[in-house]
Amino acid sequence: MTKAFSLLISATTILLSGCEPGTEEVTPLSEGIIYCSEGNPDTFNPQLVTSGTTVDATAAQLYDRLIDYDAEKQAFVPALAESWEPLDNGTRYRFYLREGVEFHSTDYFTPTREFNAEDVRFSFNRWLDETSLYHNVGGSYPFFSATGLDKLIQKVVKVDEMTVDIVLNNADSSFLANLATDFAIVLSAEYAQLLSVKDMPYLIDQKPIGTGPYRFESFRKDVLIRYTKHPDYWREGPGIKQLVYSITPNANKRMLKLVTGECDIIPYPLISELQALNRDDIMVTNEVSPNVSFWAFNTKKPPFDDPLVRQALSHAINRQAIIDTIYYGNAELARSILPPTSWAYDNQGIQYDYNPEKARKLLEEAGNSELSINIWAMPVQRVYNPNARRMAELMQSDLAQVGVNARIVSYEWNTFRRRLSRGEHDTVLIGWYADNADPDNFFRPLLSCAAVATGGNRANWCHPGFDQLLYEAIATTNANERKALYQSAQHILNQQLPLLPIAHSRRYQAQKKSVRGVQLPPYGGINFRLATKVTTAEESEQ
Amino acid sequence: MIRYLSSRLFVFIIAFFLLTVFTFSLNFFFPGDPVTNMTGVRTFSDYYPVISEIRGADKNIAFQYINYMQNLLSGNWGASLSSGDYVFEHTYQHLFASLELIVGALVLAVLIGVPSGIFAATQFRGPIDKGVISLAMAGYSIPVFWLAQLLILFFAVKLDWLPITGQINPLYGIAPQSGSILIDIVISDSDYKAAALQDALNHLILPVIILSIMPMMLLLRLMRNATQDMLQKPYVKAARARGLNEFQVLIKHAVPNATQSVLQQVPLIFSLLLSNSIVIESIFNWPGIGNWLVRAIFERDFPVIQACVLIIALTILLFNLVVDLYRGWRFPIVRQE
Amino acid sequence: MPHINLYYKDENPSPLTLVWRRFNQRLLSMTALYILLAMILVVIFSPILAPYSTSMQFADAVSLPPSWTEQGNIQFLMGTDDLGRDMLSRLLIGSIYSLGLPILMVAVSSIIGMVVGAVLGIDRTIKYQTFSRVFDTLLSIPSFLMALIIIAILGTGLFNVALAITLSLIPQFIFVTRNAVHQEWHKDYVTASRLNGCSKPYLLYRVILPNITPILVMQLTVSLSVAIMDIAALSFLGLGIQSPTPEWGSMLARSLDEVYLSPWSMVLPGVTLFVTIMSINIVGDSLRRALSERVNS
Repeated sequence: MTKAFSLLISATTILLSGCEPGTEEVTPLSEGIIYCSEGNPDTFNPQLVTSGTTVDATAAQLYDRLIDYDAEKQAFVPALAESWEPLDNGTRYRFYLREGVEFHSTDYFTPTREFNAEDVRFSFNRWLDETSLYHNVGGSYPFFSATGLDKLIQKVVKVDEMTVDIVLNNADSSFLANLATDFAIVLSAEYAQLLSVKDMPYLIDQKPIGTGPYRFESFRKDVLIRYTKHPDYWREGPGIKQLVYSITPNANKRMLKLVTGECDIIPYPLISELQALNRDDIMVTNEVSPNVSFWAFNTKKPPFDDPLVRQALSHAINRQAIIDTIYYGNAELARSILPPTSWAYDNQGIQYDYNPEKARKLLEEAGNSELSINIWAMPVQRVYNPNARRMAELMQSDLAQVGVNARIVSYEWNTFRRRLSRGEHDTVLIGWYADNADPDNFFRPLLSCAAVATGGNRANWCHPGFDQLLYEAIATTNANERKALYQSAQHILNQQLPLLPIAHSRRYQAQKKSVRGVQLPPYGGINFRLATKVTTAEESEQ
Repeated sequence: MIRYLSSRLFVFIIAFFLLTVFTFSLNFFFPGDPVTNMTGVRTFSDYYPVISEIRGADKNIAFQYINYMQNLLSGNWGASLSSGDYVFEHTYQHLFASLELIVGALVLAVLIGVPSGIFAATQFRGPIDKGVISLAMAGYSIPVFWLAQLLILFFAVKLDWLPITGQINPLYGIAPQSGSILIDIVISDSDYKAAALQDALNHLILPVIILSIMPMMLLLRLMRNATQDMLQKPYVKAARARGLNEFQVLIKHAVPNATQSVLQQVPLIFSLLLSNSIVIESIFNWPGIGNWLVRAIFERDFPVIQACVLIIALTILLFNLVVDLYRGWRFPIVRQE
Repeated sequence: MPHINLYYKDENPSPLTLVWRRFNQRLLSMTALYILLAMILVVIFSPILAPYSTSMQFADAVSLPPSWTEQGNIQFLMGTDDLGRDMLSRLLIGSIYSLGLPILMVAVSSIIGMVVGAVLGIDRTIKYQTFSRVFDTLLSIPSFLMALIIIAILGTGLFNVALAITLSLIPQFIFVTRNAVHQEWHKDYVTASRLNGCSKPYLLYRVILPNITPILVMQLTVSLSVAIMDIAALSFLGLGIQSPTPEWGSMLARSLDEVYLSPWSMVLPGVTLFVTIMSINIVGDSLRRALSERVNS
């Protein structure tokens, strides 16, 4: 563009920005935080999903759980349950509930009573009891069926107004860990009652009511979610009045918006770009995150049913190059599906290092020297994979060197997951991050035979011996025994290779320095419970 | 005039009819079930048999079309496949958001393009004329999406003057009612209207300027060529001979006639504006009809795609009608064609 | 053999030649034309010209700036992208998709459009006025929107995008050809030929066609610039040709994630696109000008 034009543009700009709000910030701007999320939530009830976007948007903000997990102390801490105790050899847990917890009061619902045992019973029965009124509203409960929690819990019994018993079919060492996840939230039974009277039960997941630190205000698809502070929150709440999720799927735009101040905090930043910008009002934080990105082979489809082919393809991939170019070195090469921080980690097995020669030989051995496959690459960024499409491009050229012709396939994220669950893919680049500290969370939701049915098993891989090990591992509480069982499970994985683990990434987020108190618990979504915003004046004092 | 009016209205109605036949047939071209594409009710839904019966899926095509038209005219445009919302209820908000950009860009294009075009014509073949025309050629050839990125990087990121996306800083809490952010602010009960208005205008600047550049340059060239043609006509010479000065000749004689011929091209400019707005809205996350359409294509949300196509095409048809009527009213010669 | 002009011979060049003579006089038009021709040569010979394969990744030369900068390396004239692929090779091969493909699409759609347009132009059995007005009105629906609809039906991908844009260009050709034929039809020379008993195909092909060729050529340039812009815009939105195919629009789109680290990966495809479209537009505009000068003189 030429001079006359830029002159004109700048003239208009100056004219309009002349009276820009200078240092004096307008009140609503200093009393709210904008989080630029990467996508639309599917629903406002985390029980119904496993998608990280939905969990980030809902779980910690709108709801509370019976217990929380404190990653620092590595212990379970009270939340809606003030205390709890295992009874009957760990097959019955008794929870003593907290008094004086208020549900959200909004323009569509005004609670008449405080939180009690009825709410807990309702919330658990929603996904547990197939005969309950709300079970079919909203469809399936993937987290609970994948972890087997729906099979594990026999029933939820209301002992008195403020006491609840959860009866298990058998003792399970991962039970409390699963209760502390973002999925095991508590809904309002009274609200559900009201909606079923109005004959609009589906609203329970669209216009949510919970006990969390924020209440739902409005949602505009592709634009924003607006939450306001819950004034009667039972514990220390946020220091802001408003929390807005500005939906910005494009990673590059998210970063630019952080720079211009249109976002206060962003997930999955382009680290290298931000470092190149080098702004002193922006802070990039990172934490160890229990996650793994992997390349799963659809073992139901030939030739991927042959372990030899899977091994050959794995030898063809230069994973170190992936870590250097895709993660910019901010990740660790994965040697097992479990991250090294897990106590059950085992790296004694065969290593699938980059070896095109061997890959070609193995392919010939398997009788598949001329192979044409597709690689499904997720269209969104995740903690474990900042750019799956680019990763697929890298792998494409690696594979070409061993004579494998790969085609990259990608759809819109919801369509992508739906088609993936139907098993339409040959191979897929996806990953997983842990919902809790238990190693079981990396195995059963991802690779058990039960997960084939729920669609969580991206490799469609069902191995009875492997499944047996997993069930033995959760039936015992003896740590050494469990460790041995998980190590043999990893051993099987390493030989069968239904998926090739690629990297364990650190979890990054970038934010304005004026935002404080946003927590990134290692197991679970983002938490704005204690979020505050400091003004520029306060900032310089500190 | 009445004959002219009725003939134009007749053409409009025929065109509208063909358009609805087209959107109706889209339901059958789109992958999946036609009834689902029309209504947003999926085949496995409990309502599907009822809806399918009402829509006459097993009856002949004429019945289905009439049924489709009844639903279309009564505002029953089905539900979005991705969000489940009723499409029609969201249509006008998206439309108004788009119009805000388009009208802004059109006004800017006319305000700058037309006078510069006239000015260039008076300097015909002079250095200024050559400069302006080359500039117009460059501005017309620059890919909008690239220009948008360059300007974002420069004005928003480098200079930090302007925001990048959306209509307004969401913390102002302006609830969408009409869809047009300026109107929404005015009718809202916000305590910070002035600041919000300021913020909304800042958000408007970049997309409006970028959107206006191509039509502006086109308008500039058309206006310059038309005015220049007029200036060489005998009647202009006659006017000069009568002793009018150059300015009067220009304003009273050359420009009105030049406008007449440029007006003929305005529908073309408007359609260019609309197709560029699809790209610009996607880049600026502007919640308009173009952005909605692109997302719907990604999400394979056929009821929404259909609604967007219908609305965009209908806007163009209506705009053409208005321009035609204006030309007929203002320039009697048009009516005799 | 000596050739002596015994008689006064009226030189009678074809309309296209006349236009060409005027076109030839302008430096700018000729420059634009040469650039365009050079681009077309690049399209044809790009597989030979490209120093590397477009998917070849140089792990030790990731995000290398162009060779004229300090950190540049002459091995990679225009630098490399974030996966270490040679930008020059990608731009060259990309011309096949961004320029070659549009030329092909315009060729196909022009043949279909001109044949249909010519037939409509001489057919006056239907109520002509209303029909043509309705048709004109519907034509104002932008081709980009039509391409989007077709992609919504067919899905993305190289072939589907090419098909979508080809189809969306046809109406314009029908329109222009029909109007041109229609205008010529009433001219004396056509009437004379008709009275001489020429068949309709002969009239169209030998009598009218030479006189409307310049208009059609102009429409070709307009369509070509629209086609290039559309295919790039679609790819930019992610609805067109998908990366890793080095189409310029999709290269632009994916370069956005690394604007700061490697600005050249965004600037280079943009400039190439700009220069290509600009030269086509200048050629088209000069043709239009030469045409109107011929008519006026």
